Amino acid sequence: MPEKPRDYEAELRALMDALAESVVEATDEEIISEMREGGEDPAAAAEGVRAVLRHAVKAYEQRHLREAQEAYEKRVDAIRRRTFSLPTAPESRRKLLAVVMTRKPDLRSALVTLQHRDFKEWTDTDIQNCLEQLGALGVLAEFEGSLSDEQ
Amino acid sequence: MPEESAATPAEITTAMEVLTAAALLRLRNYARWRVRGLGRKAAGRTETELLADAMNATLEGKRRWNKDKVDFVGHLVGAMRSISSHWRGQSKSADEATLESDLLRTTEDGEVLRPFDLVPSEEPGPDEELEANESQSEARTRVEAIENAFADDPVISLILDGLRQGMTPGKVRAELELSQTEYETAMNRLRRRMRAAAGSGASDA
Repeated sequence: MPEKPRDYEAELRALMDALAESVVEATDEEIISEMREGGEDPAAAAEGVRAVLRHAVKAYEQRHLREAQEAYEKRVDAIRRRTFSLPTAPESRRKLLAVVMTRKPDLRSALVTLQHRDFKEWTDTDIQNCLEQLGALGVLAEFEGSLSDEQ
Repeated sequence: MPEESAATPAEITTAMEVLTAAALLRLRNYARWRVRGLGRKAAGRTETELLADAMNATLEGKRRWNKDKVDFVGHLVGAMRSISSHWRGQSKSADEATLESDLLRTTEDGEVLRPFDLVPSEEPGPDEELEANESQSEARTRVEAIENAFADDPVISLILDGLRQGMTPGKVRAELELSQTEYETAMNRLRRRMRAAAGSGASDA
């Protein structure tokens, strides 16, 4: 009967696992003296290990902040990738901006300066730029139905 | 484990802050040997990652520390044992081919049956087989180097022989009729010499 070939990977694994478990059983003095024999400074090496653990604690404490940051970046990315098809006719774009400003009076005060309160003074380019900025900010999402030339 | 027995993140943090230098080094050395045992299955992961994963899992409650039953070092050791075993299994199913020699079956008449011949769809591709063979070859080099290095140490040679046969450390100790102290002394010797060998550029420890 042919001899079963040796599984060297399994043998190595068993040996390394046995060595790992022997570390659990070793005394504190043995652990420290092994380090010194290996030319390592036990105190410095130990603080290096503590730094790894502290880093994990810090990451855990900041998880909500990190999650919020990730959610924010996703939202920004979604807004950036969204394409808006503004009405092609200048008059339709002007009407759209009027609708937005009527329904979002807060935006009016934020975007429109006092001397340009009346949209009639705005050029078609001014209106287009303003709508594009509002689109990038995600404001136009709720005006989806107003984005056609038929409005 | 009942919810009230699990340590809170604040308790975990406090336990970490009061760990002694020896306890911290014990954790690192444990992680080091476990990762070495993974060989290629470590897939580039380090002892630091193993330790950090164990700490993360504890803080997140994925691996709860029952502070009434085990000390913090014992808990992290258990977590690392479990996580590294998981890495080993992950690699096995996802990345690694099974050696054909593992699946050979021999009939009572001595005929060697080759399962891969019967189930072509299970046959590893040439790359996977090459990877598995290279991994075995690397392990063979390391195992033989260790065996040669300890050929003059009868106790360690016998321990290595027992482990090679798949015995647990406890079974090896019982079979060799070694006391716990004798066994631990031999393992300490093994660790130190392997570490010294690593310092001189040898492949292990």
